[in-house]
Amino acid sequence: MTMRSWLNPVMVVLLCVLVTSCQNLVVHIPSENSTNGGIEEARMKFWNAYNATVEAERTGADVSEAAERLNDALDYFLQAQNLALQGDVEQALLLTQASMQLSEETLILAQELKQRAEIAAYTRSIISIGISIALVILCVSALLLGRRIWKRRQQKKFLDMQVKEAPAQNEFR
Amino acid sequence: MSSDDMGDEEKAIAVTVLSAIVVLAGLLVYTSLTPVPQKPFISLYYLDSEKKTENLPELLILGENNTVLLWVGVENYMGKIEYSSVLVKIGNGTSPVNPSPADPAYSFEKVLLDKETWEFPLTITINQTGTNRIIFELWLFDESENVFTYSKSWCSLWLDVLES
Repeated sequence: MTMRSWLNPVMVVLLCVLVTSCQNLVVHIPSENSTNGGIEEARMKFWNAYNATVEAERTGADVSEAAERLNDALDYFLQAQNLALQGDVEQALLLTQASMQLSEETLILAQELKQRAEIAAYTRSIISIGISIALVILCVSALLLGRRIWKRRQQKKFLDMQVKEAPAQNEFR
Repeated sequence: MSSDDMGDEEKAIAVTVLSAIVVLAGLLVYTSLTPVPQKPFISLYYLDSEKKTENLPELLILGENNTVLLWVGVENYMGKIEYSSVLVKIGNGTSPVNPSPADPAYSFEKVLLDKETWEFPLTITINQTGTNRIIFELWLFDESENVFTYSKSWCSLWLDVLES
């Protein structure tokens, strides 16, 4: 009886410790619902990556590498969808994860490509403005130089002129 | 009249006219060499098992040769990347089209670069006698709405299926 009265509080404490430690323990069992949620998330991530790629292309970037990755992500995601329909939840989840990772990578790649294309476009515009200004300066200098040479030639011509006696006026009469 | 006899004003006019002619000639050459921008388009087509149009099936016998192998192709000339979806629907002789309200029997998706052609094989088995129509529809992803919208590009293959 004394043993029991001593054991009871210990058992309660042990039980409390067990319950508190298990509170944060989440056992993940793949279910059809989690697969469907994963597929939806993968689709959203794929759309985001695709939209970023479209934006990058609009700024003038070469998006062939991003498109290749998008197609890989799409393949994984469509395979996951088929496997989920067939009931192979674990494999579907794996493929969904792979698809999401590829989409995330593509999103980052597309953003980088967009940035690079924007810098390239800015550099191109600066270069074209510079070339235009240089051409205008060149033309104006050429014009001024030409005018100067022309004037000198005229002056030299004038100085080289020889005085000739004009025919007598009464000769024409 | 020699160049020495020309006045300064006349020379300036001659140089201006010559420059104008050179600039105009340059513009003319540029416009004639620059190709006219083409209207963006995307096309959908199907071919026979040998990727030709010569041996497309018309008549099938149920239980004997009721399986068809086709190649379906999409050509993207929209001037930009396109996320496309090809829906394959099977209808009968009276099925409405453009777009068909039938549920898709198969669907295929791919991201296409500008000027890219995508061709994929498709095997269909028809189990219904009578007139069957395989309808192919092209849907494009609208990035502003995040939905596929019908591109109004479609084609179909009529097949008569007889009982053996």
